[in-house]
Amino acid sequence: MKNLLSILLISIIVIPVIGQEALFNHYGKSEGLSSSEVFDLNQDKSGRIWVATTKGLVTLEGLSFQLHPMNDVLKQSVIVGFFKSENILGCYSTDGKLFLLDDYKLTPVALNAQLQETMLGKIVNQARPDESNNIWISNVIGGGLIEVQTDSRQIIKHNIRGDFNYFVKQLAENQFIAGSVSPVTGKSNQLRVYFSDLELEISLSGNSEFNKSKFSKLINSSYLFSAGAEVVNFDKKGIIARLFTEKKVECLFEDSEQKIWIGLNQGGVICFPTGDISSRNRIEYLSNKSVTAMFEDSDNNLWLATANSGLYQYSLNSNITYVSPVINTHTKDSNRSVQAIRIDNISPENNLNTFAQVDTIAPKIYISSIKINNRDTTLLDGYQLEAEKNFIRLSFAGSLPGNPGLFQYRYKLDGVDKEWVYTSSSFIQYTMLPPGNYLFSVEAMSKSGIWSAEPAQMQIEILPHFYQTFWFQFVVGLLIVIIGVTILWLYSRSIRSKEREKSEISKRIANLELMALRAQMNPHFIFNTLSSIQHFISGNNSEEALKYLSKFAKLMRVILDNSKKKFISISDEIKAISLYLDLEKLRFKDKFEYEIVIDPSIDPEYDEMPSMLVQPYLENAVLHGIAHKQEKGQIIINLFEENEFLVCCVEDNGVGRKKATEIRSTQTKYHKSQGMSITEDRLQIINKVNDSDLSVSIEDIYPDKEGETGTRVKIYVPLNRD
Amino acid sequence: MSDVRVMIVDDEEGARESLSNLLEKYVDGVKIVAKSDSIASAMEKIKKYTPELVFLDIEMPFGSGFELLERMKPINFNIVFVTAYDHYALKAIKFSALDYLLKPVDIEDLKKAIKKHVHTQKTPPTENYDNLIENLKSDSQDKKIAIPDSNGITFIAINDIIRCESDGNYTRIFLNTGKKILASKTLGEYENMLDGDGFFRVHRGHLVNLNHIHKFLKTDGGTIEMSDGTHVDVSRRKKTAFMEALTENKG
Repeated sequence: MKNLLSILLISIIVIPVIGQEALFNHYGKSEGLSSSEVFDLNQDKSGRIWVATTKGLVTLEGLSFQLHPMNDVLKQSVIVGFFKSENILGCYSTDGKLFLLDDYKLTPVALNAQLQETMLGKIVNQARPDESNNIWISNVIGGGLIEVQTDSRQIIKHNIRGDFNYFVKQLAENQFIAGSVSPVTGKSNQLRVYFSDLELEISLSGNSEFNKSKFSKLINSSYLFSAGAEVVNFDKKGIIARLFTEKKVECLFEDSEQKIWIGLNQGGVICFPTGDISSRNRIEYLSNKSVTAMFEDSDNNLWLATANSGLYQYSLNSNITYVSPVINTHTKDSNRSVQAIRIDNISPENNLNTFAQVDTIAPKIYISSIKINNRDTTLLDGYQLEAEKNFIRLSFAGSLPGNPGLFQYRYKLDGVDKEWVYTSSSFIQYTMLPPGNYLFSVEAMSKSGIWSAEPAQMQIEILPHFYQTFWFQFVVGLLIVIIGVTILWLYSRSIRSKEREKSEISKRIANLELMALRAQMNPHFIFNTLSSIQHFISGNNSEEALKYLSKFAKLMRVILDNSKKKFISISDEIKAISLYLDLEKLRFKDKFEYEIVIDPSIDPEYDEMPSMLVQPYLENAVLHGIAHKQEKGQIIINLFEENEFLVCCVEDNGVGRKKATEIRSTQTKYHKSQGMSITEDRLQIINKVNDSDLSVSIEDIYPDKEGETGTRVKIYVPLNRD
Repeated sequence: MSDVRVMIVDDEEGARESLSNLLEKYVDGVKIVAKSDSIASAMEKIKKYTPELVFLDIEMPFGSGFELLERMKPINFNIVFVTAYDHYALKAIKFSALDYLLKPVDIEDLKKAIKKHVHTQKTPPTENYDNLIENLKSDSQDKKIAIPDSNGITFIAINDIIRCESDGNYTRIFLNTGKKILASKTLGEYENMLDGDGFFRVHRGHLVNLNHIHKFLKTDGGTIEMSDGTHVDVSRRKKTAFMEALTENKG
């Protein structure tokens, strides 16, 4: 495929003049160029410019071109390209012939029979020397790569594998990269890396040409390769990262800190500080410049060659400094990419000299607009903003008379940034600025590297949220203190009132216990008993009198003993109940029988109940139930456990509650049984103090039957055994 | 079988007569050999009539019945103490496993007392009486309690008792010497006896000496560690009362 260069010689000598447009020297037929269709051009060691045109090989001699005398010999071999290395310059023809250009002489590379055969009928589209001065020829038709040893003019390697016919780069002995080119578009779409032990294929997007591809071996033994606007980082295992740039890649560079720099055609340079080209962590410098080559000197300064803006120096320890926009006109080698690498050729004097020519006018900088919470706001010198208005976008612009060009900027927000922040963007956005005082400063830098004499500044004060104000916090603090004190006061008051309540309750308990004791020591009962004893004595029934007396004495003793305790064992209560009922039996002349049944679920020695609880109900059963009955009465006391409650069930077959009430109401004089109401009060208060649930229920045994009567009292006492 | 030779010591004539009437009328096999109204006369009459059984009133104006014990050592007759209402003295009597009657005397109780004397037919060892005298003099925890076991009676200072554990109708008593005694009384009886002497029934099955509590562990409800390292559960119902008793005891 013929690569026609339609532009003329623009890259031979480029001398940009600061503050003006670049100067082009034009060379055409009038200067001796045989044809205006140029395939390729190059320069030999002596500085002679060689140009391959459709009408033969020409050289620039002085200010005009001369057709090379060898053109007659070449005839059917059309030279279409040059290959160059440190020591040699050669050219190749479409029909697979190679020539070395030694000091105006054109020496054909003698090919041996094998190579001649191989090359026969093949159209060479590129030849490149590698580091060992071996020449690689790639061709499109027929495919394959051929390595020719220049000294011996021998083919030393012949590779015609597949479509990988485009030599890209040799990595080391027996290791090289080849690319495949689509025969249709001529664009690269596949890369094959030949390592000594394995081959790796890397797919490319297929949108650029290999002859502009760049390659770099990185410190971590991976490789960086670019073709067009595509950069691939790979190692023996495959692709590590891939990057598509907005502009075509001009150069790849890894500095001593393993940062990766990618110079772009009119796109500045992208720096990947982590060395990961797929990372979002990237910094862009020198926007819109074409960075063509990079070089790091022994002082760790990076030198960046640009296509038309001279050189930039970047100290890895600080920021980009503009150094010199000039191209060393004394350097014979005018290839701009070479210039950067040979930066040491530029003498300090030269730099100084040219620096003096630099425009010294500092650009002006002004803040052009402000957006607060995404709304355009009138531009003022300073703002006092509410806390919610903390999304701020500032636009700024540099200006230099007669130079509408691009500026670099640096800005600083006092309170946030400690140092200048460099950018090529002409706006900055602050989201969620916390309350505080800020001073925004921005400066612009002209192409000549001159910073604004004075920064443009803006004062921004973000007011605190209402809850961040001193008064608000003071009031809240005060409220907390007040609430705390109040709670404490209420708490202590409740404790005090609880204490008071407790002491009141205990007083009431004592009172009620005394009343219960009195109810048990019912004067009626005592005096009736005593009169019964008197009756026995008077009737000379001394044995009965003695029995009665000692039982009475025992009951008194038991009541006294039990009254000392709040809770007594079931067996003690049974003892008291039996004595009481025995006495009542004696008094009522066996008018009733009683029976006490203790269920085995009850442990009478251990289980407890409040003292003096049951007696009032027994008294009631005897006096109001059985006393009014004609026949013999019966009282059954059952003690059993039910749902962890001790149930003391007193059943009588007396006249029943209704009848008893009737009888009582007809009597003019009757003793009111206070015992039961006292018991109920006691139960309530015991529950309150002990948080227990003692209860009493009274019911008719036969509520629906006429004739059959009786009352059942159930006292429930929680057992709490464990 | 010959009649039991009985003597009555009481300062009140009514009480003396009442008891002798009851004995003569309702109890068979007794012979009242003497009656006495004071310690002094009682000592003489005891020497003179050598009664087998003496009903001794505790409360007398010129020297209590206990004085007689000290003055007549060694006691070679059986004594049934008679009292109307004296909690302190009764407790001491019970501690020493001696017999007593309460006034007014119940015929059945009296019969039982005579029966018991006839059946045992022997004078209690003098150490029972010595113990009674000691206990009446000493402070609460220095007192000794008579523990009846299969081998007879052992006197144990209650301070040496760490805890008692219920074992049916028996009680296992753990001493600070590491010894265990299986006593032939229920835990409830010991609880009643030791009530007020720094013992507390913390659980259905446990009576503990508050002076031997090492620490209170508040794990699930409550457990106490005794001085011998054993753990005893405190029942929920007893917890509040137990804590009160503990602070009272320490205070």
